[in-house]
Amino acid sequence: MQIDYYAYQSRIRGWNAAFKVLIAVATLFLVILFNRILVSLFVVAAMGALTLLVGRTPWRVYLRYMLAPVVFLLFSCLAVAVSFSGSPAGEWNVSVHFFYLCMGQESLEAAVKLFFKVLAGVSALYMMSFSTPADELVLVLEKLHLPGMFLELMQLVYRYIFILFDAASQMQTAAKARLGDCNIRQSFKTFAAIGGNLFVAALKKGNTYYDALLARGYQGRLELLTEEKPVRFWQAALGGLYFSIVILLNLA
Amino acid sequence: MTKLQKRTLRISIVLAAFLAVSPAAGAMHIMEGYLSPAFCIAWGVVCIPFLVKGFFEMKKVFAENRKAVTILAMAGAYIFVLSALKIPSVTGSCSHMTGTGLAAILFGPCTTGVLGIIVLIFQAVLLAHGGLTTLGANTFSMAIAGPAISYGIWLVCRKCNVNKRVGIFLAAAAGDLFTYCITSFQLAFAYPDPNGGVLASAAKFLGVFAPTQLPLAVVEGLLTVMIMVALENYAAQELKAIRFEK
Amino acid sequence: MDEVLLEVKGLSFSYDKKPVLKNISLSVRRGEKIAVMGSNGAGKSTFFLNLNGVLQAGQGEIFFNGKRAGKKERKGLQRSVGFVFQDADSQLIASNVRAEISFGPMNMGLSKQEVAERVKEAIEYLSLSDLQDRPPHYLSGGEKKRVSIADILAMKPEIFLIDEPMAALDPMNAEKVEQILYRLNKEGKTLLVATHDVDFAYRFADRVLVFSDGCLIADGTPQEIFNLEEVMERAHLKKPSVMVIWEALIKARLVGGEGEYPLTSGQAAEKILELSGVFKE
Repeated sequence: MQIDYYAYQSRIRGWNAAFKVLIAVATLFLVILFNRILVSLFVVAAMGALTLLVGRTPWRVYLRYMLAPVVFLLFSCLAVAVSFSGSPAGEWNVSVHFFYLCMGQESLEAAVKLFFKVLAGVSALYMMSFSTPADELVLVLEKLHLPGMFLELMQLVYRYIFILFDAASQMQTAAKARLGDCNIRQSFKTFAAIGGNLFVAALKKGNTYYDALLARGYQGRLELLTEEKPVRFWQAALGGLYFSIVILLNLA
Repeated sequence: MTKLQKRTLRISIVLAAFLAVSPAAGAMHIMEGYLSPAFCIAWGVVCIPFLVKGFFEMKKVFAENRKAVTILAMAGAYIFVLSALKIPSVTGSCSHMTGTGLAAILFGPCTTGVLGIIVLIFQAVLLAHGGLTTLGANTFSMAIAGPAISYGIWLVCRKCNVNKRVGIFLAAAAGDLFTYCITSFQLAFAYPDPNGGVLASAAKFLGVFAPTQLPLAVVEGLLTVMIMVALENYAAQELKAIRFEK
Repeated sequence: MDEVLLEVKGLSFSYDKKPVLKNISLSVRRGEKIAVMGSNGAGKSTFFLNLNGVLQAGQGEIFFNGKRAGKKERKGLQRSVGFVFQDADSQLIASNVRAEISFGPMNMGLSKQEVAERVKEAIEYLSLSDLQDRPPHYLSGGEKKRVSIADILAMKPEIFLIDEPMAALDPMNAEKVEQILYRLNKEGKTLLVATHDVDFAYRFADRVLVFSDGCLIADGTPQEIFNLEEVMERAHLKKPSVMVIWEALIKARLVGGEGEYPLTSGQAAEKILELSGVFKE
């Protein structure tokens, strides 16, 4: 849950949330639409700079999160680059007795493009999530006129996630203190017991929390005071410049 | 073999070894930016009817019992937290449950779909698992298809009087496997093999992720059984109260 | 002081046919500080939920300001009777302190301006200015407690029901909360505080209610209540330590029995020094 923690610390938290979401989503769309290495690299750099230099997210944390999907990414790129064939159909082929592992110029290129495209997409997502707490994201969704019940559920889920995380980590510590992790068999039992216990705790809390809502006059709508953060002119201008470069790079 | 071929072979062996001890194994979230716009939208559209159905079911429950709102929110948070807890492992690798089978058995497939998309949004934003453009595809594989299979198998097993634990195991493990297959096909549709088309590509993705996903499905099945047993011990009454779908 | 604010007549309540409150009758006057005591499961929390209108009594009536509070007036009851929950986490729902405090006033249907005003006041009252943009999950226990009190304060109720305000707080934070309670009372708010802490009840309350097994078994001043041995035993209560020591001193004729008992150890020490002729320099 580090992302949430750093989102509150970010120096660009004060930017209008809808504006950040717009930048991230538009970037995502352009990156996957263009699918060009040059564009992807620029996006990685620009989004990284915004997150690290302007937002001041610690680079160690950022780097670790950028590397997290790399394993999945390498494998899926490998699957795109290499194909099987009865004959050596690609430019590079390895015979594995029954068939050939082939890699063609084209599929290699596709895999490399994919690699950078995903990195760019991830960096755009991180720009948003490392600077915008989830409750502000829910408010942006509200502007899109999603059903109220759904949004309310989201708000509550967000709040409850932290409560259950606390409960779970306390249970884990308590289990460890009683050697609940002494061997693998016991560890599995402990894990399941915590899973079961957590569910009961969640239901009990759910009941009390509803009483607490009612006690403050809840009538089926979660209405809260929200603050408007206007988009500043220079932010909009910067955004415009950024998207122009993205589009120009694609034409280049 | 030419030098280049040798080198390629060597690299693939290294990669294969790497794969066998792959450090991070979670549910197969398709990453941000992976799919082209057409697929992002198409998978999202496929989800809509299921989500709408789930949504209306929920609305009905809410109309009868307003208290359901906090219970359902807790249920969503529970799936999220459960899927974020580290499963104990021998090798020190870090893997997670998906919780889809458990959710389907506990809440029914429609409710799970709506809770699932909320969980997936938070996984993307808070944990960087999955992404926004791939939300549609991930929702379909993890919150709709997987739970549907789990729920179906669970029902069939109950009808046929299969041992309860076996039924739960099959339901959860099959849900996981099905999710993994669907995801592989989603990846294959997006990147068909130049020689063999979608099927060959799907075979590749299935193969590449099999070493992590197959054991994980077994573990998921076992843990789901153990959690259900624990739940029946602690909370038989509560379990009855949360059957939202009849 | 003598104006009756809240009156409860023959209130009974059951959860799934299990009686939790049995025929409770009492009246609360404006400005009182009442400690509500009793062992776990004696019905204190259920009693509070009934007073606040979250739960609807099976039998009995509640009058607020002389008017009967039925189903229709429940909303009115929540405006006038605020409930601070024991576990602050169960109460905090929003993702930052300002939004959190606004929840109650928003539900009252006030204008945004009025809500913002009240939120600001509550934040200042409980010195939460530094925390107002923070999410509740990164607050400490004491801070959460203060936010949960601000939640209710912003609704400007006349009566505060406070469930175990000092539970799980360190002494410093407990002291802070206690000061807040005194301040609220001084400003004319009526307080009902559920607590297990006999020493706190003894020094804080001017009236103690004792619940046991769903019945109100005693109602009186702290001095009266803590001398009823049978009641104390039934409700699993112990005599406040200052009282125990002071009575021993009286018995040993070291201090006189006349006058009021001291309420805190500090007061007791002062009295002793006074009597023994040692004066503060």
